[in-house]
Amino acid sequence: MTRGLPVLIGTLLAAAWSTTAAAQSLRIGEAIRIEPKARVDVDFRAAEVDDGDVDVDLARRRVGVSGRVTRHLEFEVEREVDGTGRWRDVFADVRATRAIGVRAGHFKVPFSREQLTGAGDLDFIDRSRAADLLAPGRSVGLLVHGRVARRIVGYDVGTFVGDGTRSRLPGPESAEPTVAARVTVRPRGGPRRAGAIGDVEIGVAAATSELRDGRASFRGRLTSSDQFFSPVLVSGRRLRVGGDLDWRPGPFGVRGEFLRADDARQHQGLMGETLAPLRAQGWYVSGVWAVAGRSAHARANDGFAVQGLAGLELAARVEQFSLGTPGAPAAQIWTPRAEQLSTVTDRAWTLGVNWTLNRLVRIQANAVRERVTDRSRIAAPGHAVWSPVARVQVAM
Amino acid sequence: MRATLSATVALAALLLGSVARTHAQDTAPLDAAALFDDGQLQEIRLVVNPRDWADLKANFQSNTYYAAYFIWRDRVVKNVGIRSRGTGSRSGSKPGLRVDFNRFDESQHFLGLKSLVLRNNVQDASQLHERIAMRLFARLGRPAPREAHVRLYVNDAYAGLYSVVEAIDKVFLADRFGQDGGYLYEYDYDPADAPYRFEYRGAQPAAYSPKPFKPVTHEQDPDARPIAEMARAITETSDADFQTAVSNYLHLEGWVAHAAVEAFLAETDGLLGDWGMNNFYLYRFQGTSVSTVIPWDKSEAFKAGVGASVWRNVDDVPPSNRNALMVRAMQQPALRGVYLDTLLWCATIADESGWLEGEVRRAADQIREAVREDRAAPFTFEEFEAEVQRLIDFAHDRGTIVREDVRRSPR
Repeated sequence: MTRGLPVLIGTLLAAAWSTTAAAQSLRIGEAIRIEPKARVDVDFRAAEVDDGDVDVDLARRRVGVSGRVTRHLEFEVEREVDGTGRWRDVFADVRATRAIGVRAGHFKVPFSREQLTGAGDLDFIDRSRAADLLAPGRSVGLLVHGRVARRIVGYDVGTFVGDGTRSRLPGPESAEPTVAARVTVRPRGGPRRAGAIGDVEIGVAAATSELRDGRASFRGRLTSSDQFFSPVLVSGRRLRVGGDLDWRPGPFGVRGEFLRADDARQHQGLMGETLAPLRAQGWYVSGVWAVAGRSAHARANDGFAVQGLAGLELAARVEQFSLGTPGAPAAQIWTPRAEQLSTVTDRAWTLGVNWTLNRLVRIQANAVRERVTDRSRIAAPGHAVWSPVARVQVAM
Repeated sequence: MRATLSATVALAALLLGSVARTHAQDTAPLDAAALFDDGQLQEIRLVVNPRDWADLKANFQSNTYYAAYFIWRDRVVKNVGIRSRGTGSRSGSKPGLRVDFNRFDESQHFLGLKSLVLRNNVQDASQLHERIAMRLFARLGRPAPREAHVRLYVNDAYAGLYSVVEAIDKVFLADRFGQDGGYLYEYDYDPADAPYRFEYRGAQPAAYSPKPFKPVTHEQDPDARPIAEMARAITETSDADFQTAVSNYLHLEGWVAHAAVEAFLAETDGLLGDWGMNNFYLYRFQGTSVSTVIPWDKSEAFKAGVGASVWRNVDDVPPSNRNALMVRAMQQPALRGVYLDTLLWCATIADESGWLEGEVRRAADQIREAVREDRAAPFTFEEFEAEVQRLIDFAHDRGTIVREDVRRSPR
């Protein structure tokens, strides 16, 4: 906990700065609007060494700017200020009509609902294992998007230079072209509205990437970042498919998602033979309850005044994530070039409390219970692990 | 692509042939002694993905493991882990290798072994130093690793002449000492580290382990307190109490005998090395505080030359470069006697029917053709022959020189 003092001071300074900056949206006439953005997330997790200490981590430090020039051009630039200096979103979006727009730059590959949800809007501190580990990241690409059929159907179709996940190979990811498409359906069309049918959205997505020879596959990591499945070597096509549902009628909301990815392992055997593909798949179902009602929560989320408990939410999630080769017998020996890989599964429950004080500050607390079932004997022990974690978000 | 396919077919045929033979002769009574039998030139084959082999050679300073098949005679061991190894001997053209049979499957053994070392011998033009030195240690009853020369093939291509060396691990401990539950440390010398010669660094175990005493067993709880207490006893006890006090922590006679064998072998990088201590393991017997020393890596043996004094690095260097333990031990008449007697014993063994010279000649004859074909070795064939001749001369003359040195030394 002693290590957290400088972090907390930094957080408070950031909060003060962002509060001031929040009022400084720059407008030039009606046509141009520029808004600065900043985010600091501070996580409190049980230390790896069980000495009763708490690790304090600046999980996110970002600054950026977004805005629009006329009704037809929007832009966004965001960068990490955590020492890596990585660019996050750097794109321009031209919208000719509601039915068609074009986005170009560096941004998220459209695939998973949860991965596309911004950190400030997540119901839990950590994304589900499936979304976190399987969904594509950001890449340079070109995207066509819009809503058609009386705004019932939304679509995103894009081509990217990579899938935004890390490879162990040196050099740029440009040799892994990715094509992704996502379609969403709102039965009532138009913007989402409160009500049984008006606030439901269903999505399906697919993405295909061409993986470079000798690339590392997906890996398995617990919420605590401990690894339970070491990556294997893959090459060839990576095919992702997914489906999701989001329904928020009144104070209650339900969200679910299923994601699957198959990595080819062409010529990755010890003698160059092609191996059975690695399949990574997972799902989650989560529920959230705005204790004081959705409208009260929205008020807390929109204004600067602290709204007391109006912004309180209770949330729960159950999920599963597994990796292995389909049909592999139990107790296969894991190597990076193993012919078959026994399935390793992580099952988790998450209970959470979210308290949105105002539009700037949000406090989250989660308790995560995870259990790994390992048929190959190489992963973490099979006992359940509870991981408490809390986060203070300061954002504008 | 065609070349890759041909290689794949050839390797598959090799592997399938080997596997077939394995099933046919699984009951053949082979044990590790046959693998380390230096009466013949052994042959080991590794099947590794060509990209992995290229990666290992390109990143030879890394300890990354790669999956491989290990083939010896008619035995095939699947899913072994191999990695580059060594300190000064690390090489990208002829990588020294560690083979862990249980890297990916904890239950997997081969001939009772969990692992072994394929030493590349790139610091020795004769490629004989290590083998000859370990033979002498073994003749004196010291717990030395077994080893033999081996032609190594990787993906059916000759990778060079190597030595297959028994790893110092729990299997070794059980075989030599009948127990494996004690604390085993590898002396881990890094050229960037300050030389260490058993000076007392204080009572904190962290001053001794994981550096320079790297735990090989009990890695999570290396318990280096006895090493710290041993260093204190070496430094702080009176002459009268020295032998009793240090014997609580170290098999002193064994340590002195080990130093004597290295002195006979004109070793420059051992217990009394030019850069502090190096190239040994320390094993603390289970349930006791007493350790013993195990020799390792004798590539630098013979390098001080046939005329090297038996007191080299003992009393012919400034006090700050002297080994604290050796200085104190040599002040004890009994231990000094052990040192000199062991040197004489080495001389006797070496000269007995020309044993040492015979060993050099026999081993050189055995490996000559393999050396000639070894394109990865950093020495020419002419340099090999010259070094072999130097070793023959050493073996011929060393006993006489050491006996005379001992005769002149006060007891």
